[in-house]
Amino acid sequence: MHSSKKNVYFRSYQEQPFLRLNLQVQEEQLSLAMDFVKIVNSKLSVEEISNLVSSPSCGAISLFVGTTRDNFENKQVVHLEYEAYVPMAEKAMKKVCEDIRGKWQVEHIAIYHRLGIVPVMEASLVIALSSPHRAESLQAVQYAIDTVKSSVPIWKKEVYASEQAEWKENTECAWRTDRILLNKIKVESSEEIQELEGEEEFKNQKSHSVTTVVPPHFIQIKAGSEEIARRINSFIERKREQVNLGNIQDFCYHDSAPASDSSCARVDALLIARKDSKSHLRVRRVLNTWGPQTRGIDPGSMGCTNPQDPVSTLFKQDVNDESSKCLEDVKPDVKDGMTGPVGLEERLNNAECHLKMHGPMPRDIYSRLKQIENRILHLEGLSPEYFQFWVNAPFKEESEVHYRPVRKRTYSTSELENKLCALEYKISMKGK
Amino acid sequence: MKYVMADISAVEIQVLFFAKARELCGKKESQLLIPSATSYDNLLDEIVQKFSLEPIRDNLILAINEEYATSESEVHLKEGDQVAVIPPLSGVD
Repeated sequence: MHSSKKNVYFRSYQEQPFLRLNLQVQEEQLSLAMDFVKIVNSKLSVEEISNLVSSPSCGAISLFVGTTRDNFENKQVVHLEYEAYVPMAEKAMKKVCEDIRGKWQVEHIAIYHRLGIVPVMEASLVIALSSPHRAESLQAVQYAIDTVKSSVPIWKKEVYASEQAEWKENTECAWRTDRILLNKIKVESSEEIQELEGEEEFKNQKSHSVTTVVPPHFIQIKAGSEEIARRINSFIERKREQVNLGNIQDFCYHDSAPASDSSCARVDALLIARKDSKSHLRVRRVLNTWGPQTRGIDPGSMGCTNPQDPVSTLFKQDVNDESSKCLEDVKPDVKDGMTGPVGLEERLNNAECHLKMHGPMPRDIYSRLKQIENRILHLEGLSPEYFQFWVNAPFKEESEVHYRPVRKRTYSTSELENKLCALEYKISMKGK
Repeated sequence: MKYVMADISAVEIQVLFFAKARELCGKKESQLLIPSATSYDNLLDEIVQKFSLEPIRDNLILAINEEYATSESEVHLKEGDQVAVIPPLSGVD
């Protein structure tokens, strides 16, 4: 190769010769790191540009070639048209070279961009970087293409086969349409949006769609996406294990050895005692740890000094003194503490008898009711089908003319026998 | 005859249009008479108004003498300054 005058800078778009620097170089003396920045109107040659940056002291050349793709969002692209603000574009490309040199140790840099019509598969941009070892040139070429896209004033118009042509907008561009719209939405509802969330969304540069802004009080959990994925996965695993345990418990490994000898069934009905229940059905209980009864502000409860205003009890600090006085005054006889309407006592007694509750009764009505409720729950736990499956009274007596409100009832054996006899009698009467 | 400058503080600048801006306004470049000391927003408003660029008003940035300008920057224009109207960039993919 002979020494040649190389135009390191470019001819501007308007055809004004604009040579800033003529450098006489000899192939052997090529030790000055060069930036080759050019905007052309003709087809780019990757090989030529790669040769520009090659150097005896470099072991690596990294290339980026941007080519025209034949489709965008299912639309067929015929070709791309590129337009540039040439003087500024060249300035910006030079600046990219400077930035690169500030960050990495590279030898030569070449950035060539083609303007005008670029058909499918042809190159519109070629970036070539050489360095002694590959790490720098690989990283630098990545940086180069990202920065070129965000700062160089070059525009691309996609011409489609069957639709209106469009000017594209890079995601990195700070003043692209979507980002400006997003900022507008944020400004309008700025009282609700916290600064932090706005920044996080603004950094989401890879997204092509407008992200919706959520008011802060809707958000219960704030965590990174990996953390959330981890939590969801561990929840799924935990539930899976619970279900597995339940299945194993239900269907496997039970000790009914005699049954397995005589039967070929793979699964078997099995009584598994459940929590809170004496039968096979799972029973759920609500434990109310904070309520009127537990806090002693029931109108009828002992801690309450003013039945008319139970809440005032809450604010009385020396409740203990007051209530202990009350306790001493109240006689052990239950009836004296009752101030309910007529018949209340009798009805409570009936219920307690029916449920076979014969033990000593608590003083106040709410505790008694609570005991009755507990008794009912206990019986339900023993045989829930009794309570759940019978909606109506099973036998309606024909002698009853007036409407009987539907309620749950259980019948003792003797009652059932009576009813059966009555039925039989009627049928035998009819038959006669 | 004495030549009197009608308005000393106004200067004539060259405005360049690209891509969508060029399509909306119909020309690649034009001239504009504008006060020499003005704000960025003022300058943008003038240009948008005079050259019917309202549809893309919010997606433009101006470059004054080949340097990007921002909303915060004070603008001091001289005769013959070049202001480019820059729509969102779209270099190669």
